[in-house]
Amino acid sequence: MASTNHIDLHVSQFKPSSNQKTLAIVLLAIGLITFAIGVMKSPERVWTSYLVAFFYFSCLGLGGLFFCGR
Amino acid sequence: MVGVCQKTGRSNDLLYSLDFLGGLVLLAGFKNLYTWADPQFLAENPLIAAKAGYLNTSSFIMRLIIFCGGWVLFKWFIIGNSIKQDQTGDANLTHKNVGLSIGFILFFSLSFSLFSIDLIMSLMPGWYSTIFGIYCFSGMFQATFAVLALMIIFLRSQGLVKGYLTEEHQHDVVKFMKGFTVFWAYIAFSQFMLIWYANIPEETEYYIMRSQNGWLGISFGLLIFRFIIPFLALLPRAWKRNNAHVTAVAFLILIMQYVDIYWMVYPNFFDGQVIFGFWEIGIFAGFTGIFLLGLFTFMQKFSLVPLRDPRIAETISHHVTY
Repeated sequence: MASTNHIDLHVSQFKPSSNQKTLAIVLLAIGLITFAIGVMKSPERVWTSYLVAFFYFSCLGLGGLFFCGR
Repeated sequence: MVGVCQKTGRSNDLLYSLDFLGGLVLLAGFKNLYTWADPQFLAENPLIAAKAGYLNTSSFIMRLIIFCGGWVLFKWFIIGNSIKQDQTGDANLTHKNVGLSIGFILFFSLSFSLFSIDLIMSLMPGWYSTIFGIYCFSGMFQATFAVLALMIIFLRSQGLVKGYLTEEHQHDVVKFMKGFTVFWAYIAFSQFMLIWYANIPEETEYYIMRSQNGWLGISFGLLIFRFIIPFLALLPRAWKRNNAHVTAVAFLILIMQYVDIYWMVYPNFFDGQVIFGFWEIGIFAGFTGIFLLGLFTFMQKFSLVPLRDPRIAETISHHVTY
């Protein structure tokens, strides 16, 4: 059985800074605007890049889930 | 090891629910991507038409919904149990998650392979590789370990998980990252070598397309930046524990994961020309925004560490002895 007697343990709650939140929202807004314009102007290009990004982030999300099991 | 992955992985995972919505959006542009969805194309290509039993619109949509829905359900129960355990301390929830995890591995192995075939391989419906699902799986795991390494470095640098995540945990995650770097190269070479050796026109077409119109440089770039450089850069023990070094390699792997998917998708469009610009950057930025918002929301709302997990003590005292 492992012992944790001599280890200093501490967990804090994560609070994103306003800059971090703003960055995420700005990136999301850029994506939405690009998508909205692109679907009308260059649909093949936008759907192709959408497929690449969707598959990329699906992989990251799914990989995270894989490591949540025991 | 499992504990540390669980700690960081469960934060990473909320993204999937948001990403699932992205899958539904993809269905709207489905006709722009898949030639086999066009009846006229099928009429002109009897060999592709022979695959219509699998490659047809309704079964594609059904499979996408079943796969993504199944992953969301597993996420809901596995992460839900972990969060519930944070509040109740009920050790039985760990045993429940063991059963769920066994089910998930079985579901995942089949569903992810078919997901890769449906979304990526079927862009070129005449081509097939029996190792394609594993190729995508190896790249996915290499990238996932890169994200885990980055999250460990970030959480440690902020002092948010003192004692729960140490240099020892980081070292092990980076070893896995290196291991999957080799695994990716092994699978990529296996796919290439078998197709090259058999020299069947329906199969070689895939690599021929990726050896002309500027794609050859990207093909070699994958070999160099996705395998050779990360492999050499992660060999020395001390470098696996150097935050700046690991961060740089992890970002390189994440960039190359994008390049790899781009390399699988784009040669099928735009007359096989290399094309990259505002649209690709903008769409990727949007997904990154969703990713970060999901991550921040989860990390802000729930504990970064499953504190009442009965196995938490084992993960804290982890030491790398070599």
